[in-house]
Amino acid sequence: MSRYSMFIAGGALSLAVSGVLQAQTGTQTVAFDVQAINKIAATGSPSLTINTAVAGAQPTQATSNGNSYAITTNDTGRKITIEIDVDMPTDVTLRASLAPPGGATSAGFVTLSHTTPQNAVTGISQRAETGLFIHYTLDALVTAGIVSGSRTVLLTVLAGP
Amino acid sequence: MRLMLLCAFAALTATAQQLSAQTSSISVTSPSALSISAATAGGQPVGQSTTASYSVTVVGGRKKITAQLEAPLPPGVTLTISLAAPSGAVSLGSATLSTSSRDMVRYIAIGQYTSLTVTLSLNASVSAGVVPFNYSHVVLTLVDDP
Repeated sequence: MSRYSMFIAGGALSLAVSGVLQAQTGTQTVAFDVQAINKIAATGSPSLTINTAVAGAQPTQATSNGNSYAITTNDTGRKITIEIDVDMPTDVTLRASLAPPGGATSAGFVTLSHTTPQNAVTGISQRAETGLFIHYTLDALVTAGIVSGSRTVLLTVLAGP
Repeated sequence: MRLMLLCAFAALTATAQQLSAQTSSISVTSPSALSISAATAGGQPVGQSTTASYSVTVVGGRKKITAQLEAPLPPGVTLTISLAAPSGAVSLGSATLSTSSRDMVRYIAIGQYTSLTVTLSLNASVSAGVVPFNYSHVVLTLVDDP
């Protein structure tokens, strides 16, 4: 191929490539992330009253079943701990049991204290559920005497087994 | 002879430049980053939206705009897009993006249209887990609309 014909080929190529370079597309770069989300909320205002006993036995346990919680976590390996804001009076025991979200495990009834948060549910991974039941029981020995009060129950989602 | 060929080459180049100026085109800006970080207890993570803009020039025929992703998003993450339509054209509303192209705006007539809104929404289910900072490329393509 002579030098001149190569020149002409170059011109034609320039024309063809020009059409290709005007590709009718536009590209948009979208930056994104999903952060760790761990949310829990409880509903219900349980009230437990002990006011009876079988003669010769300790006072009869009171129960509350109309309570629930909701949880959202996109994390894996989460657990729910439960505690109260102030310890219970001497010889009065408050217990709670949380129904587990799918795939998780409930510890059953645990005794609530202020000083030591208890593992209520373990093995929670990537769940969004509502209407999970919370059951409470209240027990008192006769040595507790006559008492009244209220406690705030704190549920916390944490990393854990 | 050499001079004639050089003139011919110059003429061809000029013609190419003229054609390039007469080609339909589309351009789009990139939006601010989308970050999902909240949820209501019991609900899925709250999606986030942002906007950008695009411009389109149609020099001949009737055109449409398609949209697609260059690569799939992580499982459980979705990106939806909607494009405001140029005057006289029709937006097909919001669509979830995938690696398959889908029509977004149709019946675009000859003209130059600028600063049209692109709305992008990011959603993630809890099953998506925690997704580190990432990039996705959205491709808008201007094609003939039969």
